Amino acid sequence: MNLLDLYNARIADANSLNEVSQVHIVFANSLTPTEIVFLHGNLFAGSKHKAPKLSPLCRFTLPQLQEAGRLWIDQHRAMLAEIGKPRIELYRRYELHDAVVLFSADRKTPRRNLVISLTGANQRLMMPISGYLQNFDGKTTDILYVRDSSRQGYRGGIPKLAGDMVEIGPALTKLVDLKPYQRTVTVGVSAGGIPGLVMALRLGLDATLVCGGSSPERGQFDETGGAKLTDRLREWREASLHTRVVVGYGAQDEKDESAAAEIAQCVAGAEVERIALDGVEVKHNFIYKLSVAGLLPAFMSDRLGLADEDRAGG
Amino acid sequence: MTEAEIRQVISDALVYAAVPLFAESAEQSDFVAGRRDVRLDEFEIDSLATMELCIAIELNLGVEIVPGDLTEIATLGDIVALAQGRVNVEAGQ
Repeated sequence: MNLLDLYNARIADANSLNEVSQVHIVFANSLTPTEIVFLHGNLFAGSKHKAPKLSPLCRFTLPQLQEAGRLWIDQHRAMLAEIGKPRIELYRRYELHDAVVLFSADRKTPRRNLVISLTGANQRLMMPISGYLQNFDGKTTDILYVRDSSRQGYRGGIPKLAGDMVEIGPALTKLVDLKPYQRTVTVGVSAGGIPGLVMALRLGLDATLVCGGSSPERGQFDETGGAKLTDRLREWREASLHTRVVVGYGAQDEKDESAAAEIAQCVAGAEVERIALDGVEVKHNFIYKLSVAGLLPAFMSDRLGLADEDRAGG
Repeated sequence: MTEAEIRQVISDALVYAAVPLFAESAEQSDFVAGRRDVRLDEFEIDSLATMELCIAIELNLGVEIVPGDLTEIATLGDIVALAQGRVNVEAGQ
């Protein structure tokens, strides 16, 4: 089924404009940059898109649907343009699990880098997935998108994949072979920050970027009556001193600043980075602010070492 | 439908959408009890989270508020009042 037919099929079940929004959210959490460009050129435009058949119970008109659909796709196309790249990054979607999707130009020939990207509890990487992908180089970098599908901040792990947060990394290695990649790193946003850090240290990965991560002192991952996460982080760090750890926080977010300091206290050598932009308030979601400013591709490439040619063990 | 119940629906929706300001239970309970209002520009609520809030209101309160209705809204308390008004209209009050 092509994308326009899929859109029409989903819309046919919608009875209100909010149910149309639900369709748009699902699409925003899965579409690649090229699919966004395709929809921008064709959704309720040109001759390719025949208007969907509306539900007999629906409480909106076709013009209202068209307006909502165009507004939605125009916003997504504008987001890609703001990143400021001359070309659209070519990614395809490979669903490996309910909560895990590999975005790669070609799964059969892995790129040089793998960026394992863990969402926050809202199951997003602080922006629609197409925008996130556009900030990387599809020729050199695959993205493994990991959703917090229970929306519990990875407490209890990921249903049908890993029984607790600590086991998410090893479970992912059964879905994706890391060996072909010269460099494997993690990015964890918000509630995904600590799980991304733990994964990088436990698997001995090359680098991790924590974006607005929560404090390990909160106790949400302490074992009942057992080990504290802060102590385990220190142990894992001892065993993985080569992992570059960058902990970023928005300059105007005091809570995230405190959390970043508390993470750094447990992870020797962690680089705490205050993200500030002239004339712009930067709070929890700093990667979107960097993306809008066209600064995120270079930020990711530098902090994660994605452009490095000379790799340890590579 | 009481005002407290409407506030609870909105609070739950913001927690579901992982809006940072609503991560702490004290902030949630203060809002639900009506002890605290929040300006929308105080927290980071993106367009998708706004959609999720409107969806939650429709699913739980049975009244339709769409993101376009919120463009002139300044606080969460204003959303509560808007939803309460529409609930009352639906109920014929």
